[in-house]
Amino acid sequence: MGVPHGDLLVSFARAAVTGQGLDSARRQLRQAVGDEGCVEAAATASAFEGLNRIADGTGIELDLGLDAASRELRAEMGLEQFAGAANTPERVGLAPTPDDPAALFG
Amino acid sequence: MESPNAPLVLGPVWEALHTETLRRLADCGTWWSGPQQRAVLEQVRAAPHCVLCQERRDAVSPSAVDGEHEADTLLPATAVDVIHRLTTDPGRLTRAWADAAIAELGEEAYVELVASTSSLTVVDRFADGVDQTPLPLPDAGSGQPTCERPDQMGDTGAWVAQDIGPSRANVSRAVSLVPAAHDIWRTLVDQHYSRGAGFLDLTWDRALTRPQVETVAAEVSRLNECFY
Repeated sequence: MGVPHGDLLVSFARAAVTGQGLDSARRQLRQAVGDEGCVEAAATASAFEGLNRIADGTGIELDLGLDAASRELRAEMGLEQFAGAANTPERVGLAPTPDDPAALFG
Repeated sequence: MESPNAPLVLGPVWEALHTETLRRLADCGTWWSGPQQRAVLEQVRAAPHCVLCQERRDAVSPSAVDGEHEADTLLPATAVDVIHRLTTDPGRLTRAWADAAIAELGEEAYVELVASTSSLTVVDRFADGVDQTPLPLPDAGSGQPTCERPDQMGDTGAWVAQDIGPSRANVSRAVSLVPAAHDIWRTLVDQHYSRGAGFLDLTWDRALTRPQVETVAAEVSRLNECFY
């Protein structure tokens, strides 16, 4: 079982970043999740457009716990190929303990 | 739901938040004056139409394409390059590029540029997402930058100094070197995404579920090739 309307959410996110097909993606998403859901999706997409720039513009490295917890997934998804991967040094022997999530945005 | 062709109805919180954000962004900054801050915002909006930026986006490496940005502005060329690169190609920035910009602009001024560029990006991309005309830029604020660097800043492994106080994740303190810009940024992201203590709740009681919100977030970050 996937995320409900996951395909429409991905299409909307893609259109929001590329600017291509945004009207169509918005219309379909709106019919599926309603007006408030559509606004929430726009709020999230725009927030991450900014968050990505804050992270890449300041060259922050992955926090220790996040680094350890996401290592296998990053390798599986090929994320180490992104230019920003160079900002995080190779660390050996990290325990896979996530950071306190409250510290991320709290 | 309204007709799918009717304009989306936004709650009053959004217009108030974004209007106030723009006012603060165009006000006198800590390292850039009001007219300079407004010029930064103008360049964020100009960057997507810049020919050099488009050529760099299409190149295997952005550094392979020389040239000058199309910009009629009072900002120094290096500041324009920071704004344009961050706006149009954020996933391919490098430490060498940032170091060169920081050497010319100063570390704090660089951070304020990054914060302002990122904040306006949030506001404008939201308008695109809900199919509304971007808010007009306000007039520039008056006053003189104080150029005050806060205490407790240090090396956290990033390209710029950050708050080294306890229990702050890197993304949360990324632009802490300029507290006023940091506050604008955090206020914006809190309303758009994290919502204070609600961030810890994995079953958000919002119009979208937490997994749905994170699906959007992951796809945006993937397309921007954001490693963090």
